[in-house]
Amino acid sequence: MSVRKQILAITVVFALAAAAYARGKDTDTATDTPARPAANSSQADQPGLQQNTESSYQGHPVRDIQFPNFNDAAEKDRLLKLIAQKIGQGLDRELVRASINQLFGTGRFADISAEVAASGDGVSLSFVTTPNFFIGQVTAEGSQGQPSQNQIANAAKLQLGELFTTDKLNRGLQNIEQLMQTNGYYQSSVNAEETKHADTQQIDVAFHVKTGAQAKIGILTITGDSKWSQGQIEDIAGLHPRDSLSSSRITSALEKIRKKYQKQNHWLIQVAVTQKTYDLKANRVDLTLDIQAGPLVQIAVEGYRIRRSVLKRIIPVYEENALDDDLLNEGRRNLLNYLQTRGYFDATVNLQRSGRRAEVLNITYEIDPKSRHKLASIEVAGNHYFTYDTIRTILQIQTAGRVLSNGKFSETLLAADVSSIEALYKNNGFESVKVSSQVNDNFRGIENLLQVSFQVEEGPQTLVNERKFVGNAAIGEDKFPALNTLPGQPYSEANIAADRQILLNFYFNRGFPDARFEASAQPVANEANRMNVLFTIHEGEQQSVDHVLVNGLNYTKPFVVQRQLQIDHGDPLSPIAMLQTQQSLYNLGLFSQVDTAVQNPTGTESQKNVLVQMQEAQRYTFYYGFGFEFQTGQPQGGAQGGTGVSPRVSFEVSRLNFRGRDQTLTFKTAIGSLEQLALASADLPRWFDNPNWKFTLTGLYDNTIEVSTFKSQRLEGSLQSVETLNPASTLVYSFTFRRVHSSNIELDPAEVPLLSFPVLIGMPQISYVRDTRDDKLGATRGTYTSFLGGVAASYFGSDTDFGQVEVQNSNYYAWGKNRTRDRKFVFARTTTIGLENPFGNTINLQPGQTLPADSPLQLIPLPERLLMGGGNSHRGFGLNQAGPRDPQTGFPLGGSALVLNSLELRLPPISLPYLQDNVSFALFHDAGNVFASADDMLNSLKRWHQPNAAICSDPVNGANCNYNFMSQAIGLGVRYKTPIGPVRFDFAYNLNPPKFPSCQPTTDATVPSSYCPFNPDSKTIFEPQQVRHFNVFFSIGQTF
Amino acid sequence: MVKRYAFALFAALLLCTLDLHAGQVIDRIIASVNSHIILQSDWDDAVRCEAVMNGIPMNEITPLKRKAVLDRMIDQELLREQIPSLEHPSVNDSDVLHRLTNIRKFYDTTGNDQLWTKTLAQYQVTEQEIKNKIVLQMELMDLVNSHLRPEIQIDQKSIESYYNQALLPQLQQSGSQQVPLAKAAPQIKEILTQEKMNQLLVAWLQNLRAGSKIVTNPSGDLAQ
Repeated sequence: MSVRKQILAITVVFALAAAAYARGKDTDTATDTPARPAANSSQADQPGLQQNTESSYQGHPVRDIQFPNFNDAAEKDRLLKLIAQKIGQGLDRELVRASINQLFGTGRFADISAEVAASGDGVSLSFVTTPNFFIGQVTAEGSQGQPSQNQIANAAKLQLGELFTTDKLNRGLQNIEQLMQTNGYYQSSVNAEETKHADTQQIDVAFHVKTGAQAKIGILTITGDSKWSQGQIEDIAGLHPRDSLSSSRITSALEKIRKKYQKQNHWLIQVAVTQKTYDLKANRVDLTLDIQAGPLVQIAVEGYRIRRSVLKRIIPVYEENALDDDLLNEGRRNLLNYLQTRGYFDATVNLQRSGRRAEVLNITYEIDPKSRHKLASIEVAGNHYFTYDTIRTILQIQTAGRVLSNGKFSETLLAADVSSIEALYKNNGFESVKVSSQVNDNFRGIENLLQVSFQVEEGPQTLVNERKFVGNAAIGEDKFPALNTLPGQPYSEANIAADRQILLNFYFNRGFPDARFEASAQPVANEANRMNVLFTIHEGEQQSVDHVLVNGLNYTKPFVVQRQLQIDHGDPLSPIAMLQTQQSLYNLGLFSQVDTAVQNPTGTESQKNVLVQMQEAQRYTFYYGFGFEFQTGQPQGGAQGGTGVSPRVSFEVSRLNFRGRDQTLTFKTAIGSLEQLALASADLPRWFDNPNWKFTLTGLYDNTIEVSTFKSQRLEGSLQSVETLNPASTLVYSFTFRRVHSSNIELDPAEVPLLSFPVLIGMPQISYVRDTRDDKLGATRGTYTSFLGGVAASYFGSDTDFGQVEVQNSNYYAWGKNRTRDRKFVFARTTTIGLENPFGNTINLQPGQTLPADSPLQLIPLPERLLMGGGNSHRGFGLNQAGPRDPQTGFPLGGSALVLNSLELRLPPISLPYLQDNVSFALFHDAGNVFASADDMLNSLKRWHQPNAAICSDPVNGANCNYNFMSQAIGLGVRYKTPIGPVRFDFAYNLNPPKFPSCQPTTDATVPSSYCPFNPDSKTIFEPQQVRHFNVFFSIGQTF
Repeated sequence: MVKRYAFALFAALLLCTLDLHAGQVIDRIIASVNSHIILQSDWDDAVRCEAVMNGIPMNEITPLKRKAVLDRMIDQELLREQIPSLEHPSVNDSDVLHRLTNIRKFYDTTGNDQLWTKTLAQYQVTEQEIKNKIVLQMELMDLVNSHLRPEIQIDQKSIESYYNQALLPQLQQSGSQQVPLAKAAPQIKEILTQEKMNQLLVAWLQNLRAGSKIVTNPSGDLAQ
């Protein structure tokens, strides 16, 4: 086409386009075009002189530049610096145009005009602006149920910080109306209330929703090729006429229908609501459900026998409840992998589809397993830079071992491994590396025994000679993070790509969103295999924080939020700091939603306001529950305790945001026949505005059976402050004042008056904890050490005087270097030593000893004694069953010293049908006991059997029964992984359970009343016992 | 008395307000197309340039014609945004000069520079502004051609239909000699292509407008 024709064409084209727009503009709702002045066409189309923007002041010196809508001097200065027209210059049309463009580019103004007036010998220039507004808090009210107020606010899709327009608001209103209708609220109405904040150019939008009555389901019509009757479909879907209509109900109904069909092997089922007809008068919606059952899908495997359960596990169609090409191919790959792990390295799997009839689709995996191999050896030769072990870690092929009895091999895996080795070398500067492989299928002369040999030709290594930066004007090289490309280090494209990512992230997080990076490298002259690397950085303009605008606080004190902000005026605009601010605010636990955003993100200004928008959480939280509890070691089982079961009612109320701070009040109760508990506490984190200090005030009433021997009643108040020394170490200072009272004492009646007397304990304690475990719920490495010391003395209001020390140390080791963290073997050990030492007027008694009634001496109260035994302690004993016992009743007494050492080998999880990789096993050994005194403990550490156990069965000398030995238990644990820690079953066998004497009541009239020598006053018989060998425990969380 | 003071106070305040905005408006935003703005001065320049390029005397420029220029500027901006940022359309200088020469022929066929300069002065435009306008038009035409032309397929049946139903009656009416179909086919194909391109461009621009944020006359007092 000739040029002239082209010019004519564009004229015609634009004329037509403009005409078309003129026709369509009145109905174009997508543009944000304000109403134009209605012009009388007969007047408007008169010829006339156009307005001339050439000013008569052109060239006159500008004496002053005004921004009439701004009062803040700093703002004015910033705008003056921004614009092209400067004070003192002659007024220039082009500079004024540029200035308007620059002001508009900031995104802060919807309209700008430049005005000029005479001022002395020059002119005064004013930029009159109309501000834009940016989206701030978006709230919704009026809906009580579904959709929630948050859902309504989110449906508006008004993004925090973005430019507010009436178009966006109208779209938001439409979205909300649609959401309400989806939930059955066809009679709802919604309006928006806008609140503008001129000082921050923010606009808050509140949506007021009137839901009206929820529509009911009217006539339900089923179309398509349903296999069931309409009534059956309604029952399957749980969807009936006159049910309330809601989005969740429809979604659930469709899902139920889909699952029903899939269970019948209709994997291609398609079901959808194809029509909704609303009847305004009846306020009901007639629904049409279209069901296309699709063909019956039959999945089969030919050529190799695989159990159905295995097939269901490895063909994802079953698990995903869907059928498509991707899932079928994934199933093919899984089958191939399955066969290869069984030694069929050359196996092939083909996918065939056939349909004898239109309503049946047969999916057949045709397997040709070929011969079975075993990969016995992998050799690597020619490697000097990397060791054999290093190379082995990146290989996918595996030699035969315990887990893979035939190893793992295929030509595809082999090719991938060759590539991996090459990539490893190339990433370390060996650009010309060559790797080849050879497979020997007759290794050691045995057919189908494989040996794979990799031959590596490393070639020369290219090193970085010099690294230079260009363009980093704002940030010096010394501030950069550690990079991979360094003089003397290998030169590789992979390292440079990694450095690019590191540097761009670094710049991005320092407010350089437009930073770019280029790298070039030149060989060094006269020096082989050395490269000079040049990193060129185009920083772009740095963006910084202007103001941080915090919104959404109703009850919370502003300073509580301020001290969590990681960004401040003048800081670089860092996305990471904004994210950290968000996390930090969430960590307060005061807010249900925290959003951070940049105001006016598309504006060109280098200083940006950062918005922090919060929604406060409900201040009162109520929890209530009803259930059953069971507890071993209850007195109804006799001296060795039984299992008590009780219904349990619990109630808890928490008050967040106490005094507008991140402080919490909690009141908790639990009532059952085994325990009655009431607890009130106040948590004050950041004590004295120090993030490393936390203060807790607690009041407690606890009435519980901790040991079968007695029932403990505790009324306790405590003050506790926790100081975090570093991420791993904490110090806990506490003072506890409690009144302990024992009742239902199953001991020598002579002791009862003394032991059942209420005792006051006042005890300051200090504890130090160092915890370097990698995971508190399931540690695989690290240590846990704690030291607890406390003194109860009359100085602190205590009736008895004793000191208490407990030290615990645990270690965790994992091994299995080719295994992921979750699949490693873990060896765990913990040792606990506890001591109590009476002083002043308090003494220790040996089992069977009693105090005269008029003795001024005190005993350490039963609930304060050291106890051992149970699922989280020594698993060779029932709950608190270890240690000395009362010779009359046989009930455990506790002691003044304890030692416990536990060893546990935690095995990696095993794959089981339905349970996947969630089940694992552990082998354990527990050794230890409770002793009457520290001396007894020290003398017993090497004693592995109960001394003179026979005497415990002697009715004459049974009172001298000795418990000073290390009782041992071995056992097997089963763990089931859950998000809150493993559910744990431990089966323990006590190798040397202690024997002990006891007098048991009898109703045998022939038994003389004084038959039991230790209790001649009651009708009991002497009945020696032995702690049972087997114990079973159930609990949540690892033992230690 | 109170009423009188109140009126005086109101009048004084009104005067103060007037004083604040007593300056002469020398430029302002007339329209914004997404993130770009069209200034009053851009519009004035475009009106004058188009008047020169189309040989329209300034006193024949009506407000509606000015409005049409603004609409075209918006369309041009929408199309300009479609030019990929890394792609710099290359417009041949000789094509620009050829087009400029054709424009000059509206005013003088002799190539008299003085007359041309006088014309430009009358319209208050410079030759460079005219050239810039031509370059923009050519760039956009390239864009439209590259975007739309590949989509257009003209089949033989349409060409024959145009030949029989439009061209032949036209030739008969004008008494001209009949042109064989084979000879007329390339021109007919181009005519039909142009027609189709116009239709597609109209649709394209409507789509672009629908997906864009266009604000005209933000202050609500558009001067015609």
